Amino acid sequence: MSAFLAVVGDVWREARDKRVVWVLGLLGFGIALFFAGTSVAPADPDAALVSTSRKLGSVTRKQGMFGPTTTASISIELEVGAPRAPLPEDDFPLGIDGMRVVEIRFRDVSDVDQMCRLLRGWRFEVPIAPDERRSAIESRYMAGGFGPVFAREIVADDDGESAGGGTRWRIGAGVERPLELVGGARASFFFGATSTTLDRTSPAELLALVQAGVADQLAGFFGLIMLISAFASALPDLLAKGSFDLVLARPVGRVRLVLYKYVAAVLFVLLFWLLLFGACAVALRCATGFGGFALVRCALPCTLIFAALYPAALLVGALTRHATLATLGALGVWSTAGGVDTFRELAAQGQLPIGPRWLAVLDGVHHVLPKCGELKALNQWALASEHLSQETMQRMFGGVAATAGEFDSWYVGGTTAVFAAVLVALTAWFVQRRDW
Amino acid sequence: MAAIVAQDVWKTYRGGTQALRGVSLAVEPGQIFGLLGQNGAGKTTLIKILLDIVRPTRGTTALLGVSSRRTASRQPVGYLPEDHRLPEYHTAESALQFYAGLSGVLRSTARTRARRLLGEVGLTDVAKKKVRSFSKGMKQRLGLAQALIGEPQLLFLDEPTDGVDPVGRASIRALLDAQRRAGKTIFLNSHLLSEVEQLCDRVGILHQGELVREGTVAALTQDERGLTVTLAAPPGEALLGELEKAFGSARAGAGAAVELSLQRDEQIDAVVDFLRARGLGIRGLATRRQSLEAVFLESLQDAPNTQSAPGTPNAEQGK
Repeated sequence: MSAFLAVVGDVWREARDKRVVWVLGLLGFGIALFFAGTSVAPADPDAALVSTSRKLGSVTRKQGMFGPTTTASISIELEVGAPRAPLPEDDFPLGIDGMRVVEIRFRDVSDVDQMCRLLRGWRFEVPIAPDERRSAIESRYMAGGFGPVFAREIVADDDGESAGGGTRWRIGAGVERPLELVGGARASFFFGATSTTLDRTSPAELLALVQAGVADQLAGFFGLIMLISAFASALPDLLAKGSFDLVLARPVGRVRLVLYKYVAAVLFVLLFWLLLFGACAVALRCATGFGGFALVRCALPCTLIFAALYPAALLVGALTRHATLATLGALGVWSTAGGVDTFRELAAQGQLPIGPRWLAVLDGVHHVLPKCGELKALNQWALASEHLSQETMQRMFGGVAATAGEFDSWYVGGTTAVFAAVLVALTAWFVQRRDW
Repeated sequence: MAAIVAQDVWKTYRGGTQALRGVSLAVEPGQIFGLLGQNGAGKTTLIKILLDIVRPTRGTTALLGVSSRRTASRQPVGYLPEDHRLPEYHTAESALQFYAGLSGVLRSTARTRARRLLGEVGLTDVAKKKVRSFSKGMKQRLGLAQALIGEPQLLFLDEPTDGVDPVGRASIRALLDAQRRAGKTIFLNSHLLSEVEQLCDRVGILHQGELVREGTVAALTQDERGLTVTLAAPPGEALLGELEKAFGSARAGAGAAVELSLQRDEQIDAVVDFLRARGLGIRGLATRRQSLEAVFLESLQDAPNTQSAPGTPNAEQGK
């Protein structure tokens, strides 16, 4: 045990000696400070209801994996009434948080059908079923952060008024998550030094997006590269002439030394992310009342990705005794895994014209390599699932994040662990059998 | 039970370089054993094989009765390699605590020992400074301290005074002497023959991977064929001529001394008889001692040249 603790202490001390770790820590501190200086005010539900109603004719879509995000608009002539509290005669379910009711009138009956077609993805086949009209309108309000939403078409006989040539709808929209309301929310940054009105997004989306940025970009990209490069020199430095002798002359086996080095680095990374994400989560929670354990939980997938890639750095480091090559080895595995994921997704979408044989090869390689993509998606899923409704989550992160919670965790974790274990074992075997 | 045993150890590196050729030796507990040899003679390879850092091609080694291949054999060992590189991100104190931890020493004990050893090697003032700021001599002293941190029974030191100034050398010698008095066994590789002569009980001379001489320092430096006879009166030329004719070599020494080189020990009696038969008074009789350097150089000259054929890499290249 004392040998293990000694190696842990040594690896951590070595990491603290690296400039990149301090740079990463400072970056994390800066982000935590940014979070602490951020505050949000949710949109007024009535204003958001009117704003969402006025945007019914505009649909934003993402075209394919690499396609542009486009906003398609159709001209809808719409009258929006004043929002009000629900009345018994509205026939909406009772007991829904903050429900507000608004009546809207499409001047042209066909406008609702056009909107449905727009939502279908520019497929202009007919006809549109009555139920589809209702669910299309409900989905637009749910996309605006309301929920649950009920839409009722008002026929002329219902209240003795004429439909005036168009079609009238009564919308009952619940407000279970005020921070998800789109339209009219405000956000201020740098301790109130600057503020802005959020027209096209909700505070919840903004904050989830910022957290996802920390987890995916700071930790999942820059942080990963920096930490791999910081720890890549651990084995080459240890195996250097005059250095390894000092360690090998101790009563610690070589295999154990390699394992201890690996575990110590992974533990450091886990603790580092826990501290950084913890600081960011606390700052965000104190400043906005939003967010919580989910960001801290992102430390685990981020560490798992490091744990999956770092063995490649260990193996290359042992073979070449060169820190730069060790870093490149790990980054090479990472890029290959990312490339394979991309090709598979493109092939699944029919955007990559390859035959079944090549697809099988891609699948085979995917089985073997660490599942960095899936692990990263777990971050988004963890962040989104804690605070966002399914609809908002889907809108923000697309299908991958929304379904990440349904990944076969045994498959993802198991194959990734096998990959890491094989590489660590190869490293240990190489170190064990060689003269030093 | 010998503290260090090597039996018929051979080492051929990849590429065919023969570093050791059938080396066998045994070092008794409490002894200081000095291993001498030219660069590339195989001294470091032998230590590394004893510590299982390098695996022998053939032969066995054991430390305190435990095969070197077993991790447990290194429990009672301290090692100071030649050209060692201590991790530069450590302070002197944390480096010692790290190596103590690897030796299985508890953290609290390691802290106390580290402070004591830093005092003994004269590094107390820089205990909290990073190793990267140390001079070569300071690193060497810290290296010696790391070798001692586990309170080892066996100490392997490869050029321990390399790069250390004369004052530092003296303190290191004093430290090693204290270890000897404490009953520790020390295996010392050194180019400094005077140092070996001062410190070591036994010496081995390694030449091109072979152990060509081995014995106590006294036995090796004793020139058994050299005899100095001090007569009652200075010898005349005639006497010297007769002695040379009878024993092969004789010359006048200082004062009334005659220096003879004999073929065999039994000839000492014959010399005494020869002089007494001529009525010459003998006032002193002494066998001459060689310096260790002379023994070393002589050993290299006497040793059969087992150097590989031209074009074959030698042991130095193989390391």
